[in-house]
Amino acid sequence: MELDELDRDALRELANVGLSRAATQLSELLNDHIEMTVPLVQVVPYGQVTQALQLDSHATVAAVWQSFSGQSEGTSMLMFPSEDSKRLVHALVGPSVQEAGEDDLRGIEHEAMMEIGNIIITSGMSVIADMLGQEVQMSLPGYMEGTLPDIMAQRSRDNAGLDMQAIIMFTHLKAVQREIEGRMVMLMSVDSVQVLFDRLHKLLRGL
Amino acid sequence: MLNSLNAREYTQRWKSGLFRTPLRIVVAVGIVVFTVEFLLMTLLHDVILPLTSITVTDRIWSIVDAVMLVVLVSPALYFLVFLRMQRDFAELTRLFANLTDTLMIGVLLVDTDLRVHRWNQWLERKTGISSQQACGKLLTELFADFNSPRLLSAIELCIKHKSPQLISQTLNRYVLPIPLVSPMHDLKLMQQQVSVSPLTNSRGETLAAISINDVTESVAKSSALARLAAKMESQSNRDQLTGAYNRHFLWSWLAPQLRQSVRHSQALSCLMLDIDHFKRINDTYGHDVGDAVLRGFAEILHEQMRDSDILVRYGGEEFVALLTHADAAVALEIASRILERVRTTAIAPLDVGDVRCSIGVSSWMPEVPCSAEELLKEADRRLYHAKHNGRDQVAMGQ
Repeated sequence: MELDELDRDALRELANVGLSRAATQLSELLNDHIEMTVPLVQVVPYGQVTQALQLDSHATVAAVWQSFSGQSEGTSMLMFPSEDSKRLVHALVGPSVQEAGEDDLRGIEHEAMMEIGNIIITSGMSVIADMLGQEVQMSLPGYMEGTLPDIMAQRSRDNAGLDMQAIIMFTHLKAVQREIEGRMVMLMSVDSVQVLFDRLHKLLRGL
Repeated sequence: MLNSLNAREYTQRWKSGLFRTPLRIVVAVGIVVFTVEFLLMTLLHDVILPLTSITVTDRIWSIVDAVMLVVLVSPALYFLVFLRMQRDFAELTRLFANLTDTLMIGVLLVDTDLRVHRWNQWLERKTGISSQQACGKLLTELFADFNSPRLLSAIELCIKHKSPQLISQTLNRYVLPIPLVSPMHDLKLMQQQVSVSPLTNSRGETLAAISINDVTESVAKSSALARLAAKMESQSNRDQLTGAYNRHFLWSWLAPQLRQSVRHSQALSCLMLDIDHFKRINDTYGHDVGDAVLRGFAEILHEQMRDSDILVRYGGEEFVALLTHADAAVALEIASRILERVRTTAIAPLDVGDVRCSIGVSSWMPEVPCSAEELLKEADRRLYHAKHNGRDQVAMGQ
């Protein structure tokens, strides 16, 4: 579908508002000043997602996902390079991680990343749901670790047979003097994306 | 999935259930139907028709009778089905209400104001608050020390955006302050892993369904394991008899410490200490006394050193003290103090003055850096000089 600069900018602005809300929540939870921004938004057909994400296909990625249903169906995923997410959790959870052994560490990382991802995805999806003017029901979050192709293969099994498009929000998270580049991917039907941008158009014209 | 399964099961149930409706109800409904039909037909035949001039043949009369019967039987059947459905609904509701009580997790329903709408048996057991006491109350009323901004925001996100929220033990520890009946290690409150999910009724009102997993035991277990690991690590780094570090630790500590000294241009000094005539003590008094002397000697050294310094048992009766931020003058002062303390202390079970020591001092200076090996070798050389010059003294280079 054709998107002009204005549409993408508008969505990016809305996403920034949504994720700054998530940052406030995270700051409170983690007792640390956290900033989140969305420098770039892209809309690509499902087949081009892997390429558009600009992630090394051999590197391990940590992904938190929540599927949604209702009038629109699909999956929202938040991805961070695995090393970054590990370092982030270590920095945030600090001493309790240092105390724990190697095996414990993985459990702690998963749990913490799942909660952090949960908050960020909820904020991102609330922006989309508001734009769609529809109520979407989200599932509980899940956690995956693997290379990007692995993760996409896993998720496409769940969304097989649907004509999907992906809204990709590049996210920039700043916490404990670290900066982490993440990607939030919202896979949804072409129709839903169309509705979303129609409403965005109306909103822009209204302004 | 669950819903469709229930619907299918449910359709089958009321179909077969129609025939399982108690006989007395079916008979009663039948009697009502036929009585009403008889009364209506009588009314029609004896009251209404005589008022009009219509004549009705027997054939038409029986058709009217049949139609009337069908019209009356249909709602009766409908009524029977409705009755059955209602019973099933009631049963299903009761089943689901009981289901939450059979779960081994805490389940509660709250609205945005934090008012409790359901409180399962697990929570009754763990908190000592009955369902009756809890329902209709605010969470803040039930727990005076309730303080979980994360739960508040999770409930809001869950109800507003229909997105379930996970609240991990790792980042939150717990959401409801539930005291443990028997505290585990240093844990006094139940550690919880919580999820908050939206539950919307037919009127569109959404409640937050909170499920609470008690993970106290696994948290206690992993912290016990962590403590054990820390203890084992400390044991592998330390000498069992004196509590001083071992040689293995010395080298792993010294290399990064020297790098830091280079970075910050700080001095570092090394004392090499040896108990004079230790073999004689061992031979005269036995190994037990020898061990006690080693322990007492290490104790005196520890007393004279600062927190950032480390003491290493380098060999049998040979110790190394590494002093951070200490140049030659400071090192000499500390060494002299140690010498004096050893001379004037009764190291059990020997008398004052029975134990003496010799000390070699070397210093690492930013202006004349050297390797860790050279630093120790120089201290060893100074110690040799001290021994050679009559023992019970401190020796250092320029």
